[in-house]
Amino acid sequence: MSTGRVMGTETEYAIDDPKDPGADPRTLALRLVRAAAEPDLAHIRWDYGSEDPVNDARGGRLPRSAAAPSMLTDAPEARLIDVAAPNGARIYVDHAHPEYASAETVNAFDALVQDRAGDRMMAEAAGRAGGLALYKNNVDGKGAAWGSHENYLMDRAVPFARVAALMTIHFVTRQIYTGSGRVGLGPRSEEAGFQLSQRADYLTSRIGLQTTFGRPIINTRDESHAGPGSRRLHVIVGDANRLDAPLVLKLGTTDLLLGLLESEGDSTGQVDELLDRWTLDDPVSALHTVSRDATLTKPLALANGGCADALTIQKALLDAVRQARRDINRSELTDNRVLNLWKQVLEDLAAVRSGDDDARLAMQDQAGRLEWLLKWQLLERLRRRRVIPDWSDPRLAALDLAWARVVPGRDLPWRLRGSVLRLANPDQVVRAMDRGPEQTRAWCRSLLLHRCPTEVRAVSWSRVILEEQGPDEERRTRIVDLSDPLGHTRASIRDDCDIYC
Amino acid sequence: MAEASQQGRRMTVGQQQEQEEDLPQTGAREQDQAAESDLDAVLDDIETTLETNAKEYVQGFVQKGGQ
Repeated sequence: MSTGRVMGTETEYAIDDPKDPGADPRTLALRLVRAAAEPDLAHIRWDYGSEDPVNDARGGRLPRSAAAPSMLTDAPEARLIDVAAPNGARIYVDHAHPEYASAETVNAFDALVQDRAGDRMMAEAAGRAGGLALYKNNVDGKGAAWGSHENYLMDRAVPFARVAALMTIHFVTRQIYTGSGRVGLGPRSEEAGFQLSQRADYLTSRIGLQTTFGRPIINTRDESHAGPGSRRLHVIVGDANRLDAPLVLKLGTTDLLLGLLESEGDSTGQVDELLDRWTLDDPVSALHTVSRDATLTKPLALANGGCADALTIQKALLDAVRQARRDINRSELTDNRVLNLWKQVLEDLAAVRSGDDDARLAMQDQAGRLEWLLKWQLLERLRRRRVIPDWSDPRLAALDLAWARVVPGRDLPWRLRGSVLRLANPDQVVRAMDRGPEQTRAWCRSLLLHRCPTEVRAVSWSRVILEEQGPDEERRTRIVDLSDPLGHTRASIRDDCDIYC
Repeated sequence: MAEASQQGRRMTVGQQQEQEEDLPQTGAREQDQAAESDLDAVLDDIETTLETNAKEYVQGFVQKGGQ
């Protein structure tokens, strides 16, 4: 029986202080993260022992002396503040943004629940920090971008070059259903217009270790936070999503394609065929083309001399996954839900492609699954109501920004909850603010924080360090090894009784 | 809101839900708008704000780069 792929999200939020416009974002981020700490967990440090930001998945290591300062995320000066959240997540300041790194889960739907729990926790912290305004987006339209990352644990035996090759095709083309929409073209919104993706204009290279400049489609940071047989694929191309369907698809489709790579032997020929047929001639330029093509028709140049549009390529990726699963007779429930949703949105996009603006405005079901379409509908309706001919009108950029504002129970996505596909159970989201996911080590991390908060000194993804009173009154350090992401779960709690205080 | 959030992780599921239901709804809607779509209702609510301070709001949103 499959246990599922270990995965999670990392969200950098934007913030401002409505009472102090122009306040330094880094100071505000610190304020928010301090407010996120539970009083009885505030003493706990992050354990940087297992961080390795210069290890490159292509092989080799970048000398620390050659790395840009922003890449050395484990350097003492980069360690601003860390908060161990009771649900097993990590909340900290990354560069100038408050970040929520979710606890590890085993499928896209669980990861969505953790991600939404993070939104609520961060929004509550923003309130406690003096009414800061919290945004879940990726761009300020003035040159700055920040990330919404995905993490996937995978088999290290798959050659990284094959991972990079297949994922490049996927990441460039999946934007048609994962994009959250953006008003403005170019890193500084130099041109007026609407595009599918928040993030595309800030990705300018094919592959690399860096994440804050010359951002690559494939990030090679190799730091598994797990045993030597595993690799963590760290994905930085994605948009922040307010709708559930694009987030589940972003995670779920990538998971299934990684599964195709891992089942090589069975699927070698299939992966070879995908790479032969659909490898892009210029992935960076294709990424920008796809994001700026609301017609969904623009051809992308392929390495084999042909061309194809993003929707055609996505259909081929879906077909390959379905075929592979038929071949080995696999049928897990969550995987099937992802496959059905993937098929559905590709049908949605075919309908969108064939419709003019009036027809697109009327597509309610499709807009409930496609975030960029829903955002475009809001903008287009506003344009028609107020007769706004020009996409450079600040009312449109303001609406784009308002969409990103996170205020649980009040924000725009919440107001439209009756019209969109919701895939996270609200009760589960509330529970996930407090308890770790049951099927990974995050359960143990979370339980240690609940049961022995005063003894826990430091946490990382792969271990928890406690300081306890020994039998003869001396203090002694105890390390709980969590290097197996699928170990010390809720199911193993009986065997783990000596771990908990 | 502030009082509720200070309860942090001790807040029960029931309290959370209650809190959510207590929050203001999407604002006053004219009766003749009842048939309009959710999207139009949302626009009705925020249109006035957009008309008055959109430029300032957008210009004031300045962040630093992240990952």
